[in-house]
Formats: sequence, C-alpha cells, structure tokens
Amino acid sequence: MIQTVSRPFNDDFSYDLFCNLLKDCSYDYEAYYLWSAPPDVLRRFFKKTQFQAPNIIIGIKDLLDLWTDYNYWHDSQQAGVQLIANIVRQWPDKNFIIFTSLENLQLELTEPNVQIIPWGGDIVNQRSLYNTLEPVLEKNFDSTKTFISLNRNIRDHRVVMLSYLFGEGYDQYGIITYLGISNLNPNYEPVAFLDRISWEFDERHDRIRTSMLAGYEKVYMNSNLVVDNFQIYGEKSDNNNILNFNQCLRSKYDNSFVEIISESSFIAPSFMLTEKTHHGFYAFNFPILISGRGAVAHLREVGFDMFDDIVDHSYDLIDNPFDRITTAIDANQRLLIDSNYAKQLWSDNQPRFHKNLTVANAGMYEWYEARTKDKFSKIKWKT
Amino acid sequence: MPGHAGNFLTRLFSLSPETIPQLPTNQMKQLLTQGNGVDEHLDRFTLYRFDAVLNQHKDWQQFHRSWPDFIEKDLFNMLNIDSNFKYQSVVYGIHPHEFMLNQRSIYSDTDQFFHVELNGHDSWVADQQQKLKFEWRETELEQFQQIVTEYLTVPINLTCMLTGEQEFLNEYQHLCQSMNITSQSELALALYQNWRSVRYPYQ
Repeated sequence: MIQTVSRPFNDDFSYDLFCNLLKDCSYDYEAYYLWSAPPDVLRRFFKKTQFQAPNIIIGIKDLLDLWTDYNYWHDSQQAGVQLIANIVRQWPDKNFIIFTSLENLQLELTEPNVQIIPWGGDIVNQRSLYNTLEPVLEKNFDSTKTFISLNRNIRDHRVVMLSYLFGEGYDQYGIITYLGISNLNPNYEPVAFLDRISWEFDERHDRIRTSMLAGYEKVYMNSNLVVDNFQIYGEKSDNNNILNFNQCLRSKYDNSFVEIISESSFIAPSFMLTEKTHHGFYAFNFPILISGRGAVAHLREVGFDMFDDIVDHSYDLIDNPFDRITTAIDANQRLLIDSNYAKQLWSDNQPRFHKNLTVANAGMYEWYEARTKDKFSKIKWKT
Repeated sequence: MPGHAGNFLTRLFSLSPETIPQLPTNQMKQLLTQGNGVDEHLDRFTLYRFDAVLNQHKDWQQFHRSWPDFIEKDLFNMLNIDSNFKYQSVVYGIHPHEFMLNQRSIYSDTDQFFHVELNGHDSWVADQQQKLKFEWRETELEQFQQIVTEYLTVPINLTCMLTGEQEFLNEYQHLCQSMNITSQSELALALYQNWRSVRYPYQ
C-alpha cells in the first residue's frame, strides 16, 4: 500500500507511474508519496516516521532545498538532501529507494543504503493539458526585442543574471521580467548586491563583478523593466501553467526569438527542470538554459534538439556559477542582440521547432517513463 | 452547497477511527508543536458535539472558521505523520466554489467524492446560510452540478437523514460502507440527536 502524504498541483504523471510500478512489486516494502512543499511536511515525515519494512520506497515530488539557499563554495548537500542523509544513516538496516524530481541527486546523496530513481522534474506535470497547448507558430517580426527572460521569483542566480544582463547592456534587446521585492513587502528597503548574494567572486571576476554591481543598480532604477505580478495564476493559486502561458506569457513569446530560461534550480549539483523549460519548446524560442550543470546535456538525452549549431551551450558543463551564467550570455551575444540574425535563423529552422514540440508533447514523457522503469527494474532489494 | 450541513457531516464521518479526527485549528497546531500525534483516547463525540458551541464561540461563523478545512490540509497530513500514519482517511467538507478553485490539487484517483442531496427544507437552509454568513454566489449551483457530473460523486441523502433517526442510521451505515470506514452507530446517533437539538429541532 502507498501512503500518500501529500501531492502537488497538476500531478498527473508521476503518481500514476509510481502506483503502476509498485502494484506488481512482490518484495516486502512500505511506500510513501509526498510533496516537498511546504518543507515542514518533508521534515516532519523524515524525522517522525517509524519505518518497519526492509525496503522503504519514498517518492518525493519537487525540489529538495527546503526553501533555503545552497552555497556552492561551502555546501556539498542541499538542506533536504542533508535531512534525508541524516535519517537514512539512522536506519542502516533499511534499504531506501528514493524517487526524485531531481537530476544528478547521486552527486549529493551517496549513502550506501539509498538507491535513487529520477522520475523527471516538474516538467512532467499537467501532462493531460500540455497536449492542448497551442504553440507560438508565428512571431512578430516587427518586434524590436530579440530575447525574453522571465524571472518571476527572486532567486540568487536570477539576481546575478539580471545584474549581468543590465551591466552589459543586454537589457535593451530583451523583454525582461522580474518580481520586485517591493511587490511582496511594501516596506522593503533595497539591499546592496554584495549583501544580498552570498556568492564568492575570485580574482578572475573583476570585470564581471564591476559589471554586475552596475547592472544591479540599473535593475532597481530601470523603469522599462517589467515588474512581474506575483499573482500570475489569478484568483486560483493552483499553478495552472497552461493558463499562465496563454494569459500572461504568450504575448511575450510572440515578440521574442530566443529565451534565456531561468530555471528554479541552478547552483546545487542536482537540479530540477520545470514548466519554465517546457514552455520554451511551445514558445518556439532558441533556448539558453540557466539551470543546473548538465541540464542541456540532459535535455539532449531526452530527445530535444538544443540547436547546438545555433546556440553555444559550452556553458552547460561549467561548474563555477558565475562563469556558467556569464558564458551562457556572452557566448551567445550575437543571437541575443542581433535581431535580424535571430529572426532569420528562426525562419530557417521551423521544422526543428516542430520536432521539439513532438518531444514536448509525448516523447519526453515516454523517455522519463522508460528511464524510471529501467532504473526500478535494476533495484537491489532487501529480502 | 452552503447551508447543507457540511459541518455536521464532516464530523459525523470523522467519528470513525480510520479517519483523522477533526480538531479546531489552534488545538491542531498545539498538537503539532508537541509532536506526539493524536491521543488514542480522544473522545471524538465530546469534541464534535454542537450544544456547547455558542459557549465557546461568539457566533456560528466564528465556530465554522475556527476549524481547519481543505485549504489547510497540510495540518492534517502532518498530524497523521505524527500519529505514525494511523489514519487512512480524512474527511473534508468543501463548497462547490472552493472545489473549483482547488481543482488542480483534487485527485480523482485517490480521493472519493460525495455530494449532499437535499430537497425541501429551503427556509432551514437559508437560515443556516445566514447563521454561518455564507456568501451567496450565483454560479455555485451550476458548479455543484458540474462537479457531480464530472466526478461521479456519490449522493449523501440528507433529505432522508432528516426524516427520522432510523432513516438517518440506515443512510449513515450505507455511506460508511461506501467510504470504507467503520460505522459508529451509537455515537453517530448521539451526535445526530445533539446536532438536531441545536441546529434543526424537530417541529
């Protein structure tokens, strides 16, 4: 029996997959399914549950950061991974099988009594409706903007990226949105870049440091920046991404040809892909991915054409967070600022966008399902 | 629909030991702070009875608002964790308007759906709506019908339950079977009598 502790919104893929895998499992196990948000539920689950069976199967949807920042220079595990590691150490006789939305969790969670099965990030959510989502087949060729960058929720990597875009003057070429902190707290007083970001520049970074500090000032001074609305889902707080795409994003996608996709996770070794990446394939934009290290390689493996001959993804395997962000932007300078160049490439590559749409609608789900089943078939069970 | 005895029915079916007890929000938070789960000797009937409500709350609306509902389901989830997953179900009363707003976190593969059928009793319903200060929403009846059709919900025949005690018990026991929970006929009848005496006295 599966103990369903909690489920996220739009969870119409992972839960079915989990149930189908376990229904024929003949080993002695107990299984739990939960959503890592809010973190209190996850914390309480791991701290309080008295595990009984020899095999403990836990499916965890969403991130494992427990809503706290990961410090690339000092941490080796995200807070939620640390929590899991501490608990499984207390149960050395149990065989833990963790289903996770994160890719590369094995880089952070290395306890000998844990086996990891990645089942796809939030990119797989709301499957039943994505099939009905109309892609952005036509673009506004009169648009004066080349790229789009959506940065709704405030996260360190987005602040760094925005500061760099503004510091280097890319802002005039793109539609950039940003959720101002003052939207959340009217009494908020701006904090200096270096006080807000706990990232550590090294001696190689003098130029980008200067640029980011200047850009950060511009972010706060710039009246052209689209300050996003926190309530993107309207009255319903139900994460309806299709609604958001159609109501809020489509007009922005119509006017852009390239997207700098600011994913939710960036700095920790394991990362999760979400609807932000998924939307890019419906938006028919060339993708530059600000996500975990290796995210582009992962998407290639899933079956997406990442336009390697057009987009320079050499940033993807760069470890240092500053370098990954600045390379992602600088290596694609022409694509970001030369509107005619981007528009021509967009027109010339239509079949490839359509092929990616097929993957986004179906192939991606098949790939994640096949990988999950394969990993599950290779689990070492405790008898 | 608002005024169709949701508070009573939620407590009624939460008399069964397989369900997470309904508790006032402050009491639930206190239990979560202590972290020991629900006391196994918790007297659910005493907790749910309606005759003491107006001694503890200034009005029926305040009573209604002081118990957690579907929106605060994490409180129930955490309480069940603390209770070492002793409970297999939780009963939520939810109006059509809220149901529609929260549709994306309602799952037809794991949740069971029941709707309240009530014919007649119009003036009583209006009185309940007023007591609990429910907002009138024009589209709510339409939403109700949509949910009943889409989710193939099982009817709770409140009309029959209001006819008399034996009719109430028959319907209650039948529904407990559908919900796969143990019926607690004696307590259920006592709660029914208690509720009726305060909220819908026999004419």
